[in-house]
Amino acid sequence: MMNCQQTSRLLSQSLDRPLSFKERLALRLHLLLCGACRRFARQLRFLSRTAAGLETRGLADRRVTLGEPARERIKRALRDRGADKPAA
Amino acid sequence: MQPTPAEPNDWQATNPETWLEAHGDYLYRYALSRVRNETLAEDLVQETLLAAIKGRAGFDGRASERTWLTGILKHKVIDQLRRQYREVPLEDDVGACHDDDGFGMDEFFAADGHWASRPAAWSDPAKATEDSHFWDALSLCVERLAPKQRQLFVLREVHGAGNEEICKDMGITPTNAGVMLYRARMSLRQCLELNWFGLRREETETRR
Repeated sequence: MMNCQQTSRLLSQSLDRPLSFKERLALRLHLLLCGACRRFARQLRFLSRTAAGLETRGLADRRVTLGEPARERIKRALRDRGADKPAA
Repeated sequence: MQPTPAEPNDWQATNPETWLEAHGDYLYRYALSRVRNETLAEDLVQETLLAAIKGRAGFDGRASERTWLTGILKHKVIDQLRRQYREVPLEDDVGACHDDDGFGMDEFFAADGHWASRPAAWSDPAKATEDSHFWDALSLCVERLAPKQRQLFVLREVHGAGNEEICKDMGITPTNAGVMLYRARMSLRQCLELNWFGLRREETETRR
């Protein structure tokens, strides 16, 4: 039977690629018998879900703003280079 | 000075500078959350707005202005991450690892492949996500990953980039990507357990 270390690898891979029938079978069998790996599997899925949430969290943080010098620089660039290419 | 809109529709009449006013901070946060470098993030915002001026004819007005601009930025960010990825020195690269399977992380397991220390019970993870400190802890754990692992993880899990896409553009094999993502996930899981769910660990930990 597959051990916990092999199981942990397969669980990670299952988040990135479809597992083969054999792999799925081995995984299911191990998880059936191993509470620690079932817990690990849940935590891995939780990690994956929450990581996706980092995207929206960062966007909601209103303390992070574009500094004034950068804003000015971008404005200048938009005038200079933007004007080179007017919509035809 | 300013480009003359060729067509009189409302959207094209918009001055790009108003994009900066309306969406600049948002775009900046978006960029910064990925590239972790303020100057780079500012440059990405600028590139995005310049690309938007060039590409404004392609905007059909069906998406919101912000969604459209974010779409452009997203591509710029991915390009940037790919460049960064290639520049990271090889030390923490999987290529440097030549043992038979290369997955590593043996310290988490006993010689017989059982957990050296079983994953602890996490009390109410769903509730944790309502706590802003949890997100700080998670960000910090992501920061602490080795550079290449972090970049891959951010692309894959935060960004939702497909494995094939990542491998093609970074010039690594799916196996290598899988190995690095595995390492990243193992480290992150442990980091969160120690730094966030840690208090509960003592109560629930049962030694084998």
